Amino acid sequence: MTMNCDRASFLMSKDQDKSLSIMEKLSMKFHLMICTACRISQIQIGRIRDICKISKLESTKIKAAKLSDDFKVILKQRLDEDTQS
Amino acid sequence: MNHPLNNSADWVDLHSDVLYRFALMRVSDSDQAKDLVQDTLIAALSAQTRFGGNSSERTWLIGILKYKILDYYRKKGREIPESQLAPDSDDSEHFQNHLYQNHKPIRWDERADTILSNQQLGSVLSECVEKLPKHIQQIFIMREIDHIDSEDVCNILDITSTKLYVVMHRARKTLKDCVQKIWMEKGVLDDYEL
Repeated sequence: MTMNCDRASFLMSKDQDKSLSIMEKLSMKFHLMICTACRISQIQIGRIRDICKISKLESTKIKAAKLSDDFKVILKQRLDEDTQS
Repeated sequence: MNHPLNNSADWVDLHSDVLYRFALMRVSDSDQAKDLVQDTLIAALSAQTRFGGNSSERTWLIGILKYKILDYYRKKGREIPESQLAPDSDDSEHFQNHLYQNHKPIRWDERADTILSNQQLGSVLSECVEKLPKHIQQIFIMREIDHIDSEDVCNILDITSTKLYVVMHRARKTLKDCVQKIWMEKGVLDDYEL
Protein backbone atom coordinates (compact mmCIF):
# COMPACT_ATOMS: atom_id res chain seq x y z
CA MET A 1 0.00 0.00 0.00
CA THR A 2 2.95 2.34 0.18
CA MET A 3 3.49 4.74 -2.66
CA ASN A 4 5.81 7.65 -3.24
CA CYS A 5 4.77 11.29 -3.33
CA ASP A 6 5.04 11.51 -7.08
CA ARG A 7 2.56 8.69 -7.62
CA ALA A 8 0.25 10.13 -4.97
CA SER A 9 0.44 13.51 -6.63
CA PHE A 10 -0.44 11.97 -9.99
CA LEU A 11 -3.48 10.28 -8.46
CA MET A 12 -4.60 13.48 -6.73
CA SER A 13 -4.54 15.16 -10.10
CA LYS A 14 -6.22 12.28 -11.94
CA ASP A 15 -8.93 12.30 -9.28
CA GLN A 16 -10.03 15.68 -10.68
CA ASP A 17 -10.25 14.41 -14.25
CA LYS A 18 -11.80 10.98 -13.74
CA SER A 19 -13.08 8.90 -10.85
CA LEU A 20 -10.31 6.73 -9.44
CA SER A 21 -10.56 2.99 -9.01
CA ILE A 22 -11.13 1.77 -5.47
CA MET A 23 -7.53 0.60 -5.20
CA GLU A 24 -6.23 3.93 -6.47
CA LYS A 25 -8.45 5.81 -4.08
CA LEU A 26 -7.45 3.71 -1.06
CA SER A 27 -3.75 3.90 -1.71
CA MET A 28 -3.96 7.66 -2.29
CA LYS A 29 -5.92 8.14 0.94
CA PHE A 30 -3.45 6.01 2.84
CA HIS A 31 -0.55 8.06 1.54
CA LEU A 32 -2.31 11.30 2.43
CA MET A 33 -2.79 10.05 5.96
CA ILE A 34 0.93 9.76 6.48
CA CYS A 35 2.25 12.62 4.32
CA THR A 36 1.75 16.23 5.36
CA ALA A 37 3.40 17.66 2.26
CA CYS A 38 0.97 15.83 -0.03
CA ARG A 39 -2.00 16.90 2.08
CA ILE A 40 -1.01 20.51 1.55
CA SER A 41 -0.45 19.89 -2.16
CA GLN A 42 -3.92 18.43 -2.41
CA ILE A 43 -5.49 21.51 -0.87
CA GLN A 44 -3.46 23.73 -3.21
CA ILE A 45 -4.56 21.80 -6.28
CA GLY A 46 -8.14 22.20 -5.13
CA ARG A 47 -7.60 25.90 -4.59
CA ILE A 48 -6.24 26.29 -8.13
CA ARG A 49 -9.35 24.59 -9.44
CA ASP A 50 -11.63 26.86 -7.39
CA ILE A 51 -9.86 29.98 -8.59
CA CYS A 52 -10.23 28.86 -12.20
CA LYS A 53 -13.97 28.56 -11.64
CA ILE A 54 -14.51 32.03 -10.27
CA SER A 55 -11.90 34.07 -12.06
CA LYS A 56 -11.49 34.82 -15.75
CA LEU A 57 -7.74 34.26 -15.48
CA GLU A 58 -6.76 36.76 -18.10
CA SER A 59 -3.08 37.55 -17.83
CA THR A 60 -1.99 41.19 -18.00
CA LYS A 61 -0.84 40.53 -21.56
CA ILE A 62 -4.25 39.23 -22.59
CA LYS A 63 -6.09 41.97 -20.72
CA ALA A 64 -4.18 44.59 -22.68
CA ALA A 65 -4.70 42.91 -26.05
CA LYS A 66 -6.74 44.79 -28.60
CA LEU A 67 -7.46 44.48 -32.28
CA SER A 68 -5.83 47.19 -34.34
CA ASP A 69 -8.02 49.86 -35.89
CA ASP A 70 -6.87 48.74 -39.31
CA PHE A 71 -8.06 45.23 -38.67
CA LYS A 72 -11.41 46.52 -37.42
CA VAL A 73 -11.87 48.49 -40.63
CA ILE A 74 -11.17 45.35 -42.64
CA LEU A 75 -13.60 43.38 -40.47
CA LYS A 76 -16.34 45.94 -41.00
CA GLN A 77 -15.77 45.91 -44.76
CA ARG A 78 -15.90 42.14 -44.76
CA LEU A 79 -19.17 42.08 -42.81
CA ASP A 80 -20.58 44.73 -45.07
CA GLU A 81 -19.76 42.69 -48.18
CA ASP A 82 -21.35 39.63 -46.63
CA THR A 83 -24.49 41.55 -45.72
CA GLN A 84 -24.91 42.74 -49.28
CA SER A 85 -24.29 39.41 -50.93
CA MET B 1 -36.22 39.01 -21.48
CA ASN B 2 -35.80 39.56 -25.17
CA HIS B 3 -32.53 41.06 -26.26
CA PRO B 4 -32.57 42.74 -29.66
CA LEU B 5 -29.52 42.48 -31.91
CA ASN B 6 -27.53 45.52 -32.89
CA ASN B 7 -26.76 46.23 -36.48
CA SER B 8 -23.98 43.86 -37.50
CA ALA B 9 -21.81 46.85 -38.40
CA ASP B 10 -21.74 47.75 -34.71
CA TRP B 11 -20.56 44.33 -33.60
CA VAL B 12 -16.98 45.17 -34.41
CA ASP B 13 -16.95 48.25 -32.19
CA LEU B 14 -18.97 46.68 -29.40
CA HIS B 15 -17.56 43.19 -29.12
CA SER B 16 -14.55 42.45 -31.30
CA ASP B 17 -11.91 43.19 -28.65
CA VAL B 18 -13.67 40.98 -26.12
CA LEU B 19 -13.96 38.17 -28.65
CA TYR B 20 -10.33 38.65 -29.60
CA ARG B 21 -9.12 38.35 -26.00
CA PHE B 22 -11.31 35.30 -25.45
CA ALA B 23 -9.80 33.64 -28.53
CA LEU B 24 -6.25 34.78 -27.84
CA MET B 25 -6.23 33.14 -24.45
CA ARG B 26 -7.27 29.85 -26.00
CA VAL B 27 -5.23 29.72 -29.18
CA SER B 28 -2.13 31.70 -28.15
CA ASP B 29 -1.54 32.97 -31.65
CA SER B 30 -2.72 36.45 -32.54
CA ASP B 31 -3.24 35.79 -36.25
CA GLN B 32 -5.25 32.71 -35.49
CA ALA B 33 -7.27 34.61 -32.90
CA LYS B 34 -8.03 37.32 -35.47
CA ASP B 35 -9.19 34.72 -37.97
CA LEU B 36 -11.46 33.21 -35.34
CA VAL B 37 -13.03 36.60 -34.56
CA GLN B 38 -13.66 37.18 -38.24
CA ASP B 39 -15.12 33.69 -38.76
CA THR B 40 -17.34 34.18 -35.72
CA LEU B 41 -18.79 37.48 -36.91
CA ILE B 42 -19.37 36.14 -40.40
CA ALA B 43 -21.08 33.04 -39.02
CA ALA B 44 -23.16 35.26 -36.72
CA LEU B 45 -24.23 37.33 -39.68
CA SER B 46 -25.77 34.36 -41.43
CA ALA B 47 -27.25 33.03 -38.19
CA GLN B 48 -28.88 36.31 -37.13
CA THR B 49 -32.37 35.08 -37.83
CA ARG B 50 -31.84 32.21 -35.44
CA PHE B 51 -30.85 34.48 -32.56
CA GLY B 52 -33.49 33.75 -29.96
CA GLY B 53 -32.90 36.80 -27.80
CA ASN B 54 -32.56 34.64 -24.71
CA SER B 55 -29.03 35.79 -24.08
CA SER B 56 -27.24 39.05 -24.66
CA GLU B 57 -25.70 39.72 -28.02
CA ARG B 58 -22.21 39.33 -26.58
CA THR B 59 -23.00 36.00 -24.91
CA TRP B 60 -24.44 34.79 -28.18
CA LEU B 61 -21.32 35.82 -30.11
CA ILE B 62 -19.03 34.19 -27.54
CA GLY B 63 -21.11 31.02 -27.88
CA ILE B 64 -20.42 30.98 -31.61
CA LEU B 65 -16.75 31.71 -30.99
CA LYS B 66 -16.55 28.73 -28.61
CA TYR B 67 -17.69 26.43 -31.41
CA LYS B 68 -15.12 27.96 -33.74
CA ILE B 69 -12.40 27.40 -31.15
CA LEU B 70 -13.40 23.77 -30.69
CA ASP B 71 -13.22 23.28 -34.44
CA TYR B 72 -9.78 24.82 -34.38
CA TYR B 73 -8.72 22.46 -31.57
CA ARG B 74 -10.03 19.47 -33.51
CA LYS B 75 -7.91 20.37 -36.51
CA LYS B 76 -4.95 21.38 -34.42
CA GLY B 77 -5.22 18.35 -32.12
CA ARG B 78 -4.31 16.07 -34.95
CA GLU B 79 -1.17 18.11 -35.44
CA ILE B 80 0.22 17.90 -31.89
CA PRO B 81 3.29 15.71 -32.19
CA GLU B 82 3.16 12.64 -29.98
CA SER B 83 6.48 13.63 -28.47
CA GLN B 84 5.02 16.80 -27.03
CA LEU B 85 2.47 14.88 -25.04
CA ALA B 86 4.52 11.88 -24.00
CA PRO B 87 5.72 11.69 -20.40
CA ASP B 88 9.35 11.64 -21.47
CA SER B 89 9.16 14.65 -23.75
CA ASP B 90 11.87 17.25 -24.04
CA ASP B 91 10.56 19.52 -21.40
CA SER B 92 10.12 16.82 -18.81
CA GLU B 93 13.48 17.59 -17.30
CA HIS B 94 12.41 21.17 -16.89
CA PHE B 95 9.26 19.93 -15.25
CA GLN B 96 11.12 17.58 -12.99
CA ASN B 97 13.31 20.39 -11.80
CA HIS B 98 10.27 22.47 -11.24
CA LEU B 99 8.69 19.65 -9.37
CA TYR B 100 11.26 18.97 -6.77
CA GLN B 101 13.02 22.22 -6.13
CA ASN B 102 10.28 23.22 -3.75
CA HIS B 103 9.12 19.91 -2.53
CA LYS B 104 8.28 21.33 0.81
CA PRO B 105 5.03 23.09 0.15
CA ILE B 106 4.20 26.43 1.65
CA ARG B 107 0.76 27.09 2.97
CA TRP B 108 -0.55 29.70 0.56
CA ASP B 109 -3.61 27.52 0.37
CA GLU B 110 -4.87 28.59 3.75
CA ARG B 111 -4.98 32.04 5.25
CA ALA B 112 -6.91 33.15 2.19
CA ASP B 113 -8.55 35.81 4.27
CA THR B 114 -5.33 37.32 5.50
CA ILE B 115 -2.84 36.98 2.68
CA LEU B 116 -4.16 35.63 -0.56
CA SER B 117 -7.59 36.75 -1.57
CA ASN B 118 -9.10 34.88 -4.46
CA GLN B 119 -8.57 37.93 -6.58
CA GLN B 120 -4.86 38.16 -5.74
CA LEU B 121 -4.39 34.47 -6.30
CA GLY B 122 -6.33 34.74 -9.55
CA SER B 123 -4.00 37.37 -10.93
CA VAL B 124 -0.88 35.39 -9.97
CA LEU B 125 -2.40 32.24 -11.41
CA SER B 126 -3.19 34.03 -14.69
CA GLU B 127 0.46 34.90 -15.14
CA CYS B 128 1.44 31.31 -14.35
CA VAL B 129 -1.05 29.84 -16.83
CA GLU B 130 0.35 32.19 -19.46
CA LYS B 131 3.82 30.70 -18.90
CA LEU B 132 2.77 27.06 -19.37
CA PRO B 133 4.06 25.39 -22.54
CA LYS B 134 1.39 26.00 -25.17
CA HIS B 135 0.19 22.43 -25.65
CA ILE B 136 -0.19 22.01 -21.89
CA GLN B 137 -1.79 25.39 -21.47
CA GLN B 138 -4.42 24.58 -24.08
CA ILE B 139 -5.46 21.35 -22.38
CA PHE B 140 -5.47 23.01 -18.96
CA ILE B 141 -7.74 25.79 -20.20
CA MET B 142 -10.10 23.33 -21.86
CA ARG B 143 -10.44 21.36 -18.63
CA GLU B 144 -10.30 23.93 -15.87
CA ILE B 145 -11.55 27.13 -17.42
CA ASP B 146 -13.93 25.95 -20.11
CA HIS B 147 -14.96 22.86 -18.10
CA ILE B 148 -14.96 20.46 -21.03
CA ASP B 149 -15.29 16.81 -19.92
CA SER B 150 -12.07 14.82 -19.92
CA GLU B 151 -13.53 12.40 -22.43
CA ASP B 152 -14.53 15.20 -24.80
CA VAL B 153 -11.10 16.81 -24.54
CA CYS B 154 -9.53 13.49 -25.53
CA ASN B 155 -11.89 13.13 -28.48
CA ILE B 156 -11.43 16.68 -29.68
CA LEU B 157 -7.64 16.54 -29.49
CA ASP B 158 -7.42 12.87 -30.43
CA ILE B 159 -5.27 11.96 -27.44
CA THR B 160 -5.53 9.05 -25.00
CA SER B 161 -6.92 9.53 -21.51
CA THR B 162 -3.56 8.56 -20.02
CA LYS B 163 -1.95 11.44 -21.87
CA LEU B 164 -4.59 13.78 -20.59
CA TYR B 165 -3.90 12.75 -16.98
CA VAL B 166 -0.15 13.15 -17.43
CA VAL B 167 -0.51 16.58 -19.00
CA MET B 168 -2.99 17.77 -16.37
CA HIS B 169 -0.76 16.49 -13.60
CA ARG B 170 2.17 18.44 -15.02
CA ALA B 171 0.05 21.53 -15.46
CA ARG B 172 -1.20 21.46 -11.88
CA LYS B 173 2.25 20.79 -10.44
CA THR B 174 3.82 23.55 -12.48
CA LEU B 175 1.10 26.03 -11.58
CA LYS B 176 1.37 25.18 -7.91
CA ASP B 177 5.11 25.75 -7.96
CA CYS B 178 4.76 28.87 -10.05
CA VAL B 179 2.23 30.45 -7.67
CA GLN B 180 4.47 29.58 -4.77
CA LYS B 181 7.52 31.05 -6.46
CA ILE B 182 5.88 34.33 -7.36
CA TRP B 183 4.57 34.77 -3.86
CA MET B 184 7.93 34.02 -2.34
CA GLU B 185 9.57 36.53 -4.67
CA LYS B 186 7.12 39.09 -3.47
CA GLY B 187 8.22 38.26 0.04
CA VAL B 188 4.67 37.75 1.17
CA LEU B 189 5.14 34.23 2.34
CA ASP B 190 8.52 34.44 4.00
CA ASP B 191 7.12 34.00 7.46
CA TYR B 192 4.88 31.15 6.62
CA GLU B 193 7.21 28.35 5.68
CA LEU B 194 6.36 25.11 7.33
